[in-house]
Amino acid sequence: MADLSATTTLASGRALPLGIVLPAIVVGFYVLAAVIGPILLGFDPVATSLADRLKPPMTALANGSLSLLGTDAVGRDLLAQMLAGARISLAVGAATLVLASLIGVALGVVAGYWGGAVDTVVMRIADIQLGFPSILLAVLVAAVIGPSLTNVILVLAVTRWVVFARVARAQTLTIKSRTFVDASRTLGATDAHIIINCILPALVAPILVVATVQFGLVIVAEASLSFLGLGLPVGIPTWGGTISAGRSYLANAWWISTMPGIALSILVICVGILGDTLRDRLDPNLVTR
Amino acid sequence: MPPATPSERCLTVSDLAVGFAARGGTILALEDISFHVDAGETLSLLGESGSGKSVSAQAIMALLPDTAVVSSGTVRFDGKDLLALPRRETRRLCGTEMGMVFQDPLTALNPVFTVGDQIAELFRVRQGLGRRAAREAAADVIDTVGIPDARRRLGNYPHQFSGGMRQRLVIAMAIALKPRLLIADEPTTALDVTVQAQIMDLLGRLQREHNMAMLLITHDLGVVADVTDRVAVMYSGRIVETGDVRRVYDRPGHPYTRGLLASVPATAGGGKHQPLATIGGLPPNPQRRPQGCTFHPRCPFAQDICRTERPPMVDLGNGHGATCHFAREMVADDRLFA
Amino acid sequence: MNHVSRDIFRRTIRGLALAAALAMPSVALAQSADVLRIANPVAVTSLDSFGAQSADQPTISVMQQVLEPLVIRKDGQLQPLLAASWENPDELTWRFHLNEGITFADGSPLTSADVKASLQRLIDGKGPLSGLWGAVEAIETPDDLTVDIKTNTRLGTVLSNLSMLGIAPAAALEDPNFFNAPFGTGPYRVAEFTPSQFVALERNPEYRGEPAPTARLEYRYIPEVSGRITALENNEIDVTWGLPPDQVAQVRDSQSLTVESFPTFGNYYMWYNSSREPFTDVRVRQAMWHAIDMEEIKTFLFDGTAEVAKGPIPQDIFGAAEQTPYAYDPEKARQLLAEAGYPNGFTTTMMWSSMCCTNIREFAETLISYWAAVGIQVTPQELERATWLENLLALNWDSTLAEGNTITGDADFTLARLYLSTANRMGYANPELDELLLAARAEIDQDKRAELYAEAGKIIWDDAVGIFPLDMMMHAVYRNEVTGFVPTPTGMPRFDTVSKQ
Repeated sequence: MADLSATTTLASGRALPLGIVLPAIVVGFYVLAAVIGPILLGFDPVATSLADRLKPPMTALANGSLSLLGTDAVGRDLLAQMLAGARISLAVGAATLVLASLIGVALGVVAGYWGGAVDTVVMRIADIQLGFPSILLAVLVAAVIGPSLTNVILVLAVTRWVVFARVARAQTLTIKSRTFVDASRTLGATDAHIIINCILPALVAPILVVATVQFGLVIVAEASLSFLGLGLPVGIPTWGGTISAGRSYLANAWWISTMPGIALSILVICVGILGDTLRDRLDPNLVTR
Repeated sequence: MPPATPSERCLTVSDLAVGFAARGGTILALEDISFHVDAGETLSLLGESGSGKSVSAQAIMALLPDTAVVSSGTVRFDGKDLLALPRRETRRLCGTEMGMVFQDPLTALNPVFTVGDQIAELFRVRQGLGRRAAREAAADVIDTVGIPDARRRLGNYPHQFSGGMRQRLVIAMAIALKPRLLIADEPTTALDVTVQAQIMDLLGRLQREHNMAMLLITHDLGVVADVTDRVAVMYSGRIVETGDVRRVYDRPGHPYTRGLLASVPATAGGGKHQPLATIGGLPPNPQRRPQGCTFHPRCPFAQDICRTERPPMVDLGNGHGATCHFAREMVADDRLFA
Repeated sequence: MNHVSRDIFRRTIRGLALAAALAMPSVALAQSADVLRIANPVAVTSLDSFGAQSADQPTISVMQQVLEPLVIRKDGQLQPLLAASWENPDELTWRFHLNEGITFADGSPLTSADVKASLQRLIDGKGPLSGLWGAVEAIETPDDLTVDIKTNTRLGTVLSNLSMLGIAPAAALEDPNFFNAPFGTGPYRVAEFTPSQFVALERNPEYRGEPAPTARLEYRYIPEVSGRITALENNEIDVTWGLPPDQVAQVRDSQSLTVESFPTFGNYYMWYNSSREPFTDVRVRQAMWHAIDMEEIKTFLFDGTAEVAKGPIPQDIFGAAEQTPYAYDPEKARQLLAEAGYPNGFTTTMMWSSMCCTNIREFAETLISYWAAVGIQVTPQELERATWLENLLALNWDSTLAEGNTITGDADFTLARLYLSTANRMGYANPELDELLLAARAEIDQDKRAELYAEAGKIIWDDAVGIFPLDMMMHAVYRNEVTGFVPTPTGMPRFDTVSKQ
C-alpha cells in the first residue's frame, strides 16, 4: 500500500512516473548488455564446434563452459551471439533514427518554413510513401542495393523519414507564426538564424518522442530484413538473422529462434511504452509554454 | 515646436496601398497612406482594430505575410525606399536602424533561451562583440529599461518575468542597437492598467534620450495625448485626419475623430460632464466599402455629396488636414465644441 | 539500357516478386483415399520440360510421370522404353526403332515425327539440356517407327541424353497452351496446374501398361520444412522429401511416418577460382582440403545422412570411379601452405546461394571454421541465387560452395559440361583433361567411355580443382499407409507405383 501511494504521488507530482522509469531501466539494461556483454562473453562467428551443436539451454559444452541459452546449429553459444546481435541491432536502430530524423527534419523544416512548391513536392512524396507499406518498400530497396550494414541503415532511414518530416513541418508552421519569430525579424535575424534559434529548439521534444516510438519499429524492421535474408551479411550476428537461422530447427531446437525473439519483444514493448509515456508528457503542442 | 525641416525626416510613407490576395480578387487593406515621422518626434497611428494600423507597421518592417501585395507607394527611410530594397538589405536595417515593440510581451520572446543569451546574441551577431562584452552590454540595456538586479536576471528565462517586465525586455531588445526609428505596436494593450503608464513613461524617456523617431500604434486616445506630438487617425484602411495632437484633439476636422474623442470619458480637468457618446454602426467590410466617403453610413452629418464623392484631404493649416467634405465647417463650428 | 541499369531493373523485379510471394495465401489441403497428397519442397514454376526448366528438378519430377523417354535408366543400366531397339549404322548415326502400338493420352499413335519434334524443341529451347545435343546435325524419320539421329562428330552420350527427353505429341507441341495441361504416353496426364502452387495428375486412360495404383496425384508447394513435417504428421499430406538431416532424426522417431534415405546423383562441391591467386597453386588447393575433417561433418552436422565423397561425382553415376581420399591432417595443410609461400595463411572469400541446398549456411560456416584453424581467413558471402549465378558465370569469385546433380546419371553431364577448359567455369585449364573428356564424349563403346571418365575424374580429384566433401542422400518421408515407394537416384521421386492402404 505504501509503495502504491508513493507511486501515485510521484506520478501526480511532476516526478517521473513508472511508465518511464521501468522501461527506461530495461532499455538501459539492453544498452549496457550491448556495450559490455560482447566484451565479457565474446562471439566469434568462425568458432564453430560441431560436437556442441543444438545443445539446449543450461548445457555444459565440450570445453567445460556452461551454455546458458543453448547453442545454435553449428555449436556457437546463443547468449554470446545475442549479445553481439544486441550491439548491431541497437546500433542500426540508433543510426537509422539519426539519419531518418536528419533527413526528415531538414525536409520538414524547409517545407514548413518556405512553403510553396517545395512544400507541395516534399509533402506529396511523403503522402505517397506513407500509402505504401514500409516493410515492402524496405524489401524492395534492399533487394535492389544488396545487403550491407550501410545499406540496411539507408533502407530503413528511407522508410522512416516521412514521420519526422511531417512532425517537423507541422511544428515549423506553428512556430513560424509566433510573435517572437516576427520579433527576431525586426531585430534583423536571417532565415538561418530563425531556423536555428527559434524553430529547431522547439522541434527537439516532439522529434525525441517520435524517435522513441520509431526505435522499436526500426529494430523490428531490421530483424525482418535479416529474417528475409535482405539484412546484414552472414557473419554479422543480428537478432533477426539468428531468429531466421533457427526457424528450420523450431521442432528440435526451439531455443535458437525463441531466445532472441523474446529479447526482441521485450525491448520493443519497453521502448513502445517509453515512447507513449513521453508523448503524453511532452505533447508537441505544449513545448512553447 | 518649429516645423520639421526635410533634413530631419526619418521615415516617410507615401501613397502606400497594400492588398491581400483572397478568393475573388484582392482586398485592399491600406489605401493612400501617407505620413512621416521626424527624428525625436512621436507620431501616433490611431484607429479601431481592423483600420490598418498594424498592416502599416508590418509593411515598414517587412513583416507582411506572403499573401500581401504592395500595390503602390513608397516607404522612405533615410532616403532609401524600403519596399524596393532586397529583403536582405531591409533585414540589415532592422534592429540597428529600426526597432519594433510588440503588443503581447508574453509571446514576443523566445521561450527556450535566457533573456541574457537573447540580448547578448544581438550584440554578438550585429555588432561583433565578444561573448563577455556582449553580456555586459546586455546587462546595461536591461538596466536601462528599469529592470532591477539586471546582471543576475540575465540568466532567467522569459517565463520567469512578469508581463510588465517582459515588455521592458522586449523594449530593451528593440532599442539595444540604438535604432533611429522605434515602432511600438499597441505596446500597452496586453498589460495591467497600472503598468501601462510606466511603460509609456519608459518609451517616452528612451525616445528623448536617444532622440528617436517613434511610430506609436494604438487605439487608446489617452496614451496618444500624453506622449504624442502628431497623430494620424485611420479608418477603414485610410488616414482620415492628421495633424498636431493638440489641434486635432481640440478641433477635430473629421466626424470620425470627433466621435472617437466623444467616446472617451471626460477627464477630471475637463469640467463639463456630457453623456458618453458612441459611434453608431460598425466599420465597413473591406470587401464592400461604401461609395463616396467610407464613413458616411455612420456619419451624423452626412450629406448627398458624401454618398457619391470621395472627400479629398482638406488642408486646415499648420499641417492639420482631414478627409471630409465639411472639414472646414467642422473646425470652424465652435458651437460644436462648446 | 546499359549493364548497370539493367542489373538494377532485374533486381527490382526480383524484389517485387519476393514481396508478392510473402503476401501469397496458403492453399487449403483436400484429402481422399484415392488421392496421393504430395508436398514438394521447391515450387513447380513451369511444366515445359523442353525449355528453360528442362533440367529443373521440380519440373522433371512431375513430368517424368507424364512424358516417357525412348530409353530409361534403371538399376544403373539404360533400358528400352518407347524404343524397342537401337543400332549404329555408322559412327555418326544412331538409329532407334520405336515400339508399335503406343498411343498418347489423346488416343493418337506415337510416331517418329513425335520424337523428332520433341528433340528439336529441346534443342531449339536453348535450355540447360540443349547443350548435350550440340553435335546433332539432323534428325531423320525414314518411316513412322524409325528415327535417325545424325551427328557431325561421334557422340557417345546419345543414350544417356535420350533418357532425359520425354516425348510429347508433335501436334500438341504447336499449341502454346499445351504446357498448362500436358499429356504424353506416361501413366499420368496433367489435370490441373497453378504455377508455383499446385499440380494435379490423373491416370492416363490410354496408358498401355498396368494402370497406376493411385488415381490422382496432387503436388502442393510447402516451402518451410517445419510446415511440411507438421502437415505430414497432421495427415494433411501423404509424402514429402528434401528434409535437412536434423529433421530426419526427429522424423525417424515418429510412429506414423516412414523415412527412406537413399544415395542420389547429387553432391556438394566447393570450387576454387584457379585463375586467381593463391588458388593457382595446387598445393594451396590441396592444403584446404586436408584442413577439413569430413567424417566429423558427416557425423555431427549431417547426422550420418550423407556420404563422404569418393570422387568428383557420386559412385552410382556411369563413369564414376573411386579415388584416394584426402585425409584430415591440419599439419600437412600448414606444411603445404608453407611450401606454397603462405606460412601464415591468407585471406579470401567464399560465396554461396542462400537457396542452394540443405544446411548450406551451417556447412559453409563449419568449413570456414576449419580453415581458420590453419590460418586461412575466409569471409562468407551468402548471396541471393540470381546474384550468385551472375557472379559464378562471370568468374567473379574466389571460391564457391554449391550442390551439383548429375541428372542424366552419366559422368559426361557433369565432367564434360563443367570441367572442359572451354567451359571456363572455375578458371582451371588442363589440356590433358580436355583431351580425355572429349575422347570420352566421342566414344561409342560404353565400357571404354567409362574408363576415360575414370581417368578424367582422377585428374580433377588429385589436382583439387575443387573440394568434393559429401555425396548427398535423399530423404523421403511418407505416412505409414503409403506403400510401393521406389527410391530414384535422380533425387526426383516418382509415384506411379505408389498406393495408399
